[in-house]
Amino acid sequence: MVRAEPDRARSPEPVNVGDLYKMHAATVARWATRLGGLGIDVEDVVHEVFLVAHRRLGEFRGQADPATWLFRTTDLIVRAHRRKARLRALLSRSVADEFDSAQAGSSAISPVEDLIERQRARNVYRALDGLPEKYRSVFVLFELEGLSGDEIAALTGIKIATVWVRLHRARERFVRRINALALREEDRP
Amino acid sequence: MSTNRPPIEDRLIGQAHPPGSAEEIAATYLRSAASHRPPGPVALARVGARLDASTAEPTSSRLRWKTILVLVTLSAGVGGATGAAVWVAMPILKRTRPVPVSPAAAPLEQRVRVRRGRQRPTLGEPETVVASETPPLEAPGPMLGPEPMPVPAAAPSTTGAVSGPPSPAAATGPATGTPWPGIEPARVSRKLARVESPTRPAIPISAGTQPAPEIAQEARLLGRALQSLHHDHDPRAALTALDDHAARFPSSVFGPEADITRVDALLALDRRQSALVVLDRLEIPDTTRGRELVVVRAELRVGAKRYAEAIADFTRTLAGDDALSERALHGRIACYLATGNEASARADLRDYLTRFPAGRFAPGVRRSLGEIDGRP
Repeated sequence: MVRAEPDRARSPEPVNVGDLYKMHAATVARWATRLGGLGIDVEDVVHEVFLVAHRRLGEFRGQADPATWLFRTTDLIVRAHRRKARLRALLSRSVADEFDSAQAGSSAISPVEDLIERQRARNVYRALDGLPEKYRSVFVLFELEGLSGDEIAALTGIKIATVWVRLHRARERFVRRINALALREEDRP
Repeated sequence: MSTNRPPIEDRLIGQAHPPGSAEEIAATYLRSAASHRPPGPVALARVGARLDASTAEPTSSRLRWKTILVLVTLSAGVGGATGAAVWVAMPILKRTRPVPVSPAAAPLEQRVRVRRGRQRPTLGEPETVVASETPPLEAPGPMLGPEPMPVPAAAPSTTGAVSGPPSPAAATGPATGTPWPGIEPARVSRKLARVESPTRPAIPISAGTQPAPEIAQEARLLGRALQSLHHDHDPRAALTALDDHAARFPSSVFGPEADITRVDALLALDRRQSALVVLDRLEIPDTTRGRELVVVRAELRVGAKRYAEAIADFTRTLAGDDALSERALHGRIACYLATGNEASARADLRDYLTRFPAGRFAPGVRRSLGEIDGRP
């Protein structure tokens, strides 16, 4: 997996949203994908994040770290999208479309592998949905995004000790939940 | 907060776990989620273009929204004030000033307004009489189509009096009913007979004026469900309306439409098992929408590991060379591979590459075919 490297330390400070987008769009897209899972439109999230950045460019110009600020904005927007996704009618892009789009993204593997992978990924996000938000983002950044404890602390603005506590608790809960889902899957006729 | 937790050295994915352990299962699942790829450069370029467009004229865009907001607020205020004034003034005006309209000289629309004015003692009372100004039956919804609502024989046909040329029967008026309270039916009919020209085209009887009460209620409930689902994007409200409909009309003529709407709502809530239960009992018509529903049912059956039934559904929708057929063929391949039917899978894989050589599943299909052909 590509390890997240918010290139904030090495890159020059962006002067406008276009530069900011060039430097951080891929990272924001990756965060949105990991945090949001299968049910959200990542392109919409990225667009929204940089729209907010455009409106508030002055807030981090010379003060806050753009990557930290962008992560927090992404996290908030992804949460809003997840809430909406639970209520939104998906049949205009029906479940069948969901089936399709997921498959289209992974056409390099065989259909059966694809079915299994997709079902597992869906269960991961189902299990993550049961975690409190503060545990969820730390867990996702560590396990799926591959960030170190220090990087997570920097991005989320919490202490390193808090990162470990949250990660421990999130991991315990996640393992319990995912195993329950896996068991249910096995029991299904 | 406790800080005695040791740092976690490795991710679950990166560690070696005892086979079958809870951690190993979690790691397997996490690997699948980690393989979910973020949007690539093309998608990001697309977002960048959207961003450029969105940020090109931010001030005018914000101004536009602010202007709209102000206009809406103003019109709401003006409308409210006008409504209140009319509400207070109308009863007084009605008491003091009779409507000075000569029925013989007034055009039909104006005359109809006059009648309505007499009919309603106060504002806000529901309209029940005038066909030409009565809005159609409340939101029957697209599923119901333009099918006319039957008018019960017993209902007083007030529109009949204005719908045709004058006749002796019309001249005597609707003697059996009182169309407008407080107005003598025979007098009304005489006026109508005087006003209407024999060459005036007939005003069609609106199907929505006096529908059979039950069908109207059904249509209203289904209309509410459709509106909740497709317009308000609120599948829970749609399900509530559908439950209400099912409880009140267990043998409804709109049963299939209600079931299809229920499937849509359940899928919107990601309640796949429940959607499958409804689809299982549904008789799906042989239409384009029906084909789509069959494919959706097949995919849900694959998820429930009911491969034989899924294969039957996929087979039913294979004809043609559209995207639905491609999806169906791909789904059937998945079923054959899942059930170990290599011969059929091989045939379908080849069929897929023949019919959809540049299809979106083509790379995976080629790989699967290579694996199968490579086996002894």
